[in-house]
Amino acid sequence: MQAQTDTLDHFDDAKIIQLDAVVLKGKNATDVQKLVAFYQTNQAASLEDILSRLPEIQMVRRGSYGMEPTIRSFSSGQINVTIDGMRIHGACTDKMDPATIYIEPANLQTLELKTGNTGMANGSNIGGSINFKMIEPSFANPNKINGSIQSGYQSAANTFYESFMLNYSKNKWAALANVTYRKADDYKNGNNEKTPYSGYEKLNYAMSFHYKLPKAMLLKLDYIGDDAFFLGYPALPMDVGYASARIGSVTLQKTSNNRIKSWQMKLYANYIKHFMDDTQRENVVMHMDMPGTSKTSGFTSNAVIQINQKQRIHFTADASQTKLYASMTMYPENEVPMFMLTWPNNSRTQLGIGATWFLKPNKHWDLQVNSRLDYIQTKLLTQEAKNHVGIFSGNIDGTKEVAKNLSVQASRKFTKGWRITASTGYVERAPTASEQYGFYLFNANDGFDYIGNPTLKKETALQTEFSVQKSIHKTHIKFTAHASRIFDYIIGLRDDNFSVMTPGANGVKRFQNDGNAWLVGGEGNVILKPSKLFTFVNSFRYTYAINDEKTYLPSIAPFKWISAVSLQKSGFKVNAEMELNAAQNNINIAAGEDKTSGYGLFHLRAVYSFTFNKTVLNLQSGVENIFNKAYHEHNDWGNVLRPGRNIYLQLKLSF
Amino acid sequence: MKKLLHSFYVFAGLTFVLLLSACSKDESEPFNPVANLFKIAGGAAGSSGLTIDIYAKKTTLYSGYNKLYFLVTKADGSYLTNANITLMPMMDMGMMQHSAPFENPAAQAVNEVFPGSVVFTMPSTGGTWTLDVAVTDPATSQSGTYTANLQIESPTEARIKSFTSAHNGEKFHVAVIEPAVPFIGINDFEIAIYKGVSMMSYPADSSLTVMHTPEMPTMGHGSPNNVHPTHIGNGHYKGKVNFTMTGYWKVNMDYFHGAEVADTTQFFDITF
Repeated sequence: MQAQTDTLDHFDDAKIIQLDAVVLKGKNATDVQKLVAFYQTNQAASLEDILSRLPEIQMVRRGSYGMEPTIRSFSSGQINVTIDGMRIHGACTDKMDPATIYIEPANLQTLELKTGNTGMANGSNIGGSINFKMIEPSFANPNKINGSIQSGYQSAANTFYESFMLNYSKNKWAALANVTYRKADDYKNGNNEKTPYSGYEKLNYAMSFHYKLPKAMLLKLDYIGDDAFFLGYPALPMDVGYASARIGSVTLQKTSNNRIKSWQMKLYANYIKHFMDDTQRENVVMHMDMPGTSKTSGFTSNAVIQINQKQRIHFTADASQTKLYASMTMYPENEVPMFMLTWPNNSRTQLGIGATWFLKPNKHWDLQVNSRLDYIQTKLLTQEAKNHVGIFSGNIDGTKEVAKNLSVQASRKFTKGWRITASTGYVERAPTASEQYGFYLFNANDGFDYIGNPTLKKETALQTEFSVQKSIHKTHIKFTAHASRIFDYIIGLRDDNFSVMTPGANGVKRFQNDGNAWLVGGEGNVILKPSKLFTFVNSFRYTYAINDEKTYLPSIAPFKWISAVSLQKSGFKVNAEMELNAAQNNINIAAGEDKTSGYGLFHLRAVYSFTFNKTVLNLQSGVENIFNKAYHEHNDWGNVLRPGRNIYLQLKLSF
Repeated sequence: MKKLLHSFYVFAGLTFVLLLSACSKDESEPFNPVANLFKIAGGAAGSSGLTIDIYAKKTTLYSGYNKLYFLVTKADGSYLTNANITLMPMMDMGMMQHSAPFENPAAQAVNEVFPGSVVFTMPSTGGTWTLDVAVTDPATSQSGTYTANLQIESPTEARIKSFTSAHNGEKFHVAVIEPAVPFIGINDFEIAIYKGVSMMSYPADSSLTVMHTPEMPTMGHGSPNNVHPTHIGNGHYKGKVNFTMTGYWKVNMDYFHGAEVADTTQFFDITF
């Protein structure tokens, strides 16, 4: 949705984050854009690195790669992660492959983060949404090859990063291709110890082709391929031997100055394969394989209708179907292999419609009404799958849900750049495939086998959010407070009637609706630019979540504060950064959590760029975790220590 | 394009004709009472003029509970569907002879065959198994006996177990009937219990209470939601057994007589 009236632009509360600093120039950047542009000095940063710097986002870490993004500690089942509106479901029953693992920052143009009740545009959820917008080929320099080559090295894990991008266009068409390769050995933590099984190797390649059709229509073909040859998961008993994603879409879009300002239709399909095994591990009692596949196809369509100068409506209609299958085979000595389905073959079909109404009654007020309705049907696809699920749940063929979402937002502008925004809404989400049909899914964090429950009710929430911001030339301040009252909170509860499947597991948990809970918190950003030379950035977030039995919800990140200063002069930029994490003592012991102590990290980065013959050379270097602190975040599985001191060097040549 | 459409019509037409002919062929075929069954033995029932053929669901009979299907053909080639059939299995071990538990077929045939069963308590390696099948046609009072020599193989996993009861010293034979083809999920679990009264007498028994506990010894886990087998008639006990994965399962069997323990040492191995 490119076309938006300027007067209504700030309406979209989405934190649209530009991933390419070059593209950022000349655009009206939001506060968070500025924040990310500030931090995004290391071009080799993975998407996960970038996400983890946003105060609203916390990453659940199981290995060096494949961290699971959560919004305000709402987990992946509670939020909606899409790529250009496309749904992608990981093929790993242990959530080792969130959609973010299959895309590289090089594939992406912007990142659209919507919190709480404003994030329903692409699907029903209770925690917000992240939409990654794929990079588009440029028509700017016809008949010329443009592009960039990047190469980098990071010391903590001996990581090599190679990437190149080419863009070519004619009058009618433009094409872009990029390839990114990463290879990392086992990293050294803050105690100078190597972390076994933390290395990874992956290749990502993407192509995008745009063709201009008559009547201001544009045809887009997009493809992303991603192959991981090995991904180590030190916090899990297994690694990923091979994972692949094939993501393709065809899009037709039109923009105009008529009442229908723009519309877009997209057909897409993606296929994810994920093979977990323990062939690399030593002292394995019994060899085990866990392959999984996920196939999604769907369409999205949306339109922007400009009713008059003061009103605009965004319409969305979409449908998708995801088919999941995962199994586990163990190979005991001198015995037949032991096999089971961990995701019994199931499908999820979703039909949704949504509308957002933007209204600007006068120059002070902005109002917004979001609504979405989803019909979600799941089916068990084979008799074998039904037999599996039947052991715990009786005869079940599938489930049907209708998820209803509605929210309103009002924003008032005051003098001197002040603005107050408030929103409130009611949101619903259907249970995930794992929550409904999971069959002995081992969770290495709490050591329990999880069993799905097809009779789960929807998880719903009443949410409200309030923010105060001041945005003038040299000062950008925003404070946000939010509260969610969650009903029928879904969590795995211990059931001692069941015996464990995984050797050494602590027990079996079954997903249940466990009463109601509160999740409250806040974030803040302060960006000050007292002179052309200096920029100061401070950001923090805090989340507090507790259920009605006065038990803390699990996986809640503690208070975090990032403070940074940068000095910029003619192509040279130095950035010093401090990251403080408070201890997390509000823990859920039943979920296998323990207390996490606080820590502080210090980073120093430098960027130097100069131009010769229209070629831009960009040299980046820095030290992360300067004092080699041995630490782990609260949501890191297995308390595996994160990398220690990391020195990086990165070269980018743009032509 | 027109050509393509044309060939599509021809193709569609041909498919339709083929489907029709396939259907009508099925309808005209005469009913085969022993379809999907395998012939084990057969021969004349003495001088009665009746022929007895013994069928089973597999090509081989194994020690344990075997469902047998008896097809009785009259001299004119038609099938006898109402008959009194009595069985007598016999094991000749040279030094001694003994019989085995069995279930005589009902007088009325089911789909023209008479289902019955014999619980072979051992394989043929220890001697020679014979099965006397005595038949009487109630309409004509013709009767005769056919004696089959049967080869009983030993299955890879024992389907019959015997124990001497701890509470009264009686001998019991327990044969597992279901699951015949185990799968991941809720399986029927059916056993038949017979008391060894003498070498020639193995009556069905309903005096015991049975509790079973499946486990995977390799993994050290069991399975949830099992239903203990309860007596449903003729010594048969039926319940449910759940297998959560393929592989080697051990179904531990505990037998009680009232509050007294009859035996808790028995088990059935089920690998799939």
